[in-house]
Amino acid sequence: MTPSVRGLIGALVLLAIPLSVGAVDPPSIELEILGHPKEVPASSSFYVQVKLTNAGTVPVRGCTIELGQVVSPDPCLALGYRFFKAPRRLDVASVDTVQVLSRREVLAPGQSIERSVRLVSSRQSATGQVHLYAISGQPGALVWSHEAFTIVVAEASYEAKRRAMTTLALFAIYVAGVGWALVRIAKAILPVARRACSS
Amino acid sequence: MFALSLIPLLFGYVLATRVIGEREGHLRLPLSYALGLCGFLFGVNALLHAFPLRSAVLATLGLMAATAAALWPLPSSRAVWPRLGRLEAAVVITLALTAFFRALFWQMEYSDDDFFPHAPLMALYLRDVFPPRNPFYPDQPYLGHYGRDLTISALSVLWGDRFFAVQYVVTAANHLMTVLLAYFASRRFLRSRRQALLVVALVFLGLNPYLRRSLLDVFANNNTFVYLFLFLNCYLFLAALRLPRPGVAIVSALSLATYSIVYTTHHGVLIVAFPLLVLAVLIRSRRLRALRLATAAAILIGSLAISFVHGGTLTDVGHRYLSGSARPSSISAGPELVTQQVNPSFPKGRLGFTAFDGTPYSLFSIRFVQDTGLAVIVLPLALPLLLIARRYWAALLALIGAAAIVIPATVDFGAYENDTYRFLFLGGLGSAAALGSVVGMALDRLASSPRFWAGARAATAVLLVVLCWGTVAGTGWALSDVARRPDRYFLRAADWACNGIHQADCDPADARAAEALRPLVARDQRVFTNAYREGDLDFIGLTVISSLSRAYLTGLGTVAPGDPGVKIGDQYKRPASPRALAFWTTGAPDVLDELKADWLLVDPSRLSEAARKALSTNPRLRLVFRGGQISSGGVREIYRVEAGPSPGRKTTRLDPALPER
Repeated sequence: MTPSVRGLIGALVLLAIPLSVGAVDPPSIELEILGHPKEVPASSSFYVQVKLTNAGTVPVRGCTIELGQVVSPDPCLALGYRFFKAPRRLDVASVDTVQVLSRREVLAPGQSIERSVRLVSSRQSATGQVHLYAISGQPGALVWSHEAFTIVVAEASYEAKRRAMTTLALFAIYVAGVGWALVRIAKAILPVARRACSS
Repeated sequence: MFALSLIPLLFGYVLATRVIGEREGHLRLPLSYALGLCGFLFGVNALLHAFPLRSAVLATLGLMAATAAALWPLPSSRAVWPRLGRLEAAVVITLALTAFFRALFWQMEYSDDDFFPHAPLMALYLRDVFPPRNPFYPDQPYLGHYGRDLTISALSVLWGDRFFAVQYVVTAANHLMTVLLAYFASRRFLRSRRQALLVVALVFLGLNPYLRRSLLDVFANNNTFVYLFLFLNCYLFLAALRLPRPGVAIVSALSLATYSIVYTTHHGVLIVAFPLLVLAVLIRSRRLRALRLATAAAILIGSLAISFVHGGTLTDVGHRYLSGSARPSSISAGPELVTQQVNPSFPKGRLGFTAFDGTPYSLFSIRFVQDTGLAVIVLPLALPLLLIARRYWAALLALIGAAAIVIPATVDFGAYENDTYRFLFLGGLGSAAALGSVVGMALDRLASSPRFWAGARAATAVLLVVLCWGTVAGTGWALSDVARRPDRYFLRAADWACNGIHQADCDPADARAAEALRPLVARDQRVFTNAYREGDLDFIGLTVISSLSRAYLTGLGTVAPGDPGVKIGDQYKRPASPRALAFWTTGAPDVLDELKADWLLVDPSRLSEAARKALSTNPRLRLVFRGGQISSGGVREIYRVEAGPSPGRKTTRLDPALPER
């Protein structure tokens, strides 16, 4: 057997492992939106009432999500959301996530829970859809259930605007100071920027 | 009251000009600031052993003002202002501004890196809790350094107890002053702009060791106090050694003693590195040998004598070993990580380190160079060169770097063994300073040779780009985020809590309830809450409650005591002990006495039916606050637990000092 054939067989064996190990039925979670506000200010938090039903055959716990990845070893459940535009690729890093179950809580097959979940509105004010996802399963085999509702994101509150303006004003001071210094550095380093000697 | 904050600055200025006799105008500013801050901490810490915080602060300021007035008539040499070159001024201003705003914006987004324990400790100092106790396990002391938290709490007394705001500004100002002190002290002692610029550039931008961060990125937690006082102590010790005078020696001894409550590891490194510098100076120079030796010995012995009594790790070690007991009587055999008690042993049995993830590695490995920074490769060559060339400032930083590598390589720090990256960062810093000085010396030599000068400049530029690019790019990205998402940056901690970056870790209702609790809670009282998230791995939510209410929490669990598998990289805390879980499930009233709970902060949506009923029928619970949106689930309730044990209460606890598992 040549090394390339051995390599090919090895690769096929490696590819087959994830299919054979832990091949349980993926959980099936039904997501229902029970209530939501019609209008919220930009950059503010608000609550949405949801009902989650485990319609599958495996119990699920709350997901542990680290650095945009589900790291829970067991089948788990989390909620994800995105304002106005559904993500092109369904991966956890492309949505904001909310914990609806703790690691200790179990949603058994056939069981339902109703939760009030906290979302944070977008920075831009616009009217559009909020895409809500029940994300369930294990790393590498996540199942996404989708629901959406329409919302008006109004202008940000006075406090939020003032906060953003304060931050931008501080940033402007920094940029002005560094800009002045960088011009001096450029003049010191670049021969073309130096003033011609008058003598 | 806030105008009184100027007294430490005035005190520092008088010390810098009248006692130390610093003549360079540029250096006087950061020196005055650092001396004022150091003197303020020394005074508050000393008086806090006898008085409440507010009295200690006012007495310290009074003493500082009186000392400044007494020293004012002493002769002061007129300030000289060496001309700053265009490039020099621009680089220093850019770096200083970036240091200030980078630290400020980062805190506006994250508040702090180790939000626990720093924020609750600062809050508890304002309730006169001293010496510190673990905010989540109040039966346990919290040993180790505490200088930064105490300074911020003490200063916030002058600013309406707004300790978060004081933290943001003081941290940013410290970072700026560290740049100025490092640069102007380097220029003063190395007598070369090139060397000073390269030292500062490589230390602040080109170090890139553990997690690829240089000193510019290291400002969270204690770090701005650590590095500002590091350069201050180096400056004072070298000044005392160059021209021994009693005043400078006394200030140096007091500053070094104060450093022992600011950062134990780095204080230990200075205690090793300073005598080595003395030895080198005495070998290289015959002038004033006896006087220099006596001055150095007086500084070290005097500072250690103070360190063994004024608080912190050395005081704890002194109590433990001089009294002949391995542990203070108040400490149970619980996990060392709860009390922060370090039990070092020497020798380690191998020459190497333990990474943050627990992986051991050798002193002679690639991992060591990765964790310390590339400059460490040249340290064995640079150190003798600097000593031969009598560049004692850079030689001292290099000796500090060498000591910071040798100590963790040979000493076992027990449960804190994988915390040795702190030492290695300092090792990298010393190495970067040594490299900068050596390259600067070479450039100084080549500057007079037109044949090599252009090539040397180009090679230095390439070296700087290669070494500094990581930090420069990272800083640029972080600052651009401020312009892109300004709404995620908060000046008020109460607005920041459970919003922005930590919106998933807790609910603003928790922060509001904690603020409502603040005027109700008295010193030493404990809050028991079910408002925590399992996924909140850094305990942000519980820390928000503790720091905004300025109260201890109770009911948290820990990992098994003495579990050898648990190191500092792992989380030793658990959000709820079995007893706490039992209470939130059943509402059993005995648990409240066992946990010594004085207040309950309750998220009703997380209560079981039985617990909800038990809470409403328990005659010892009085509802004092109910806030939030009932329709949304963001409701919080506060109950006062009235005194008096329940009838027929049985205490099942085996060791009252031991936190529950």
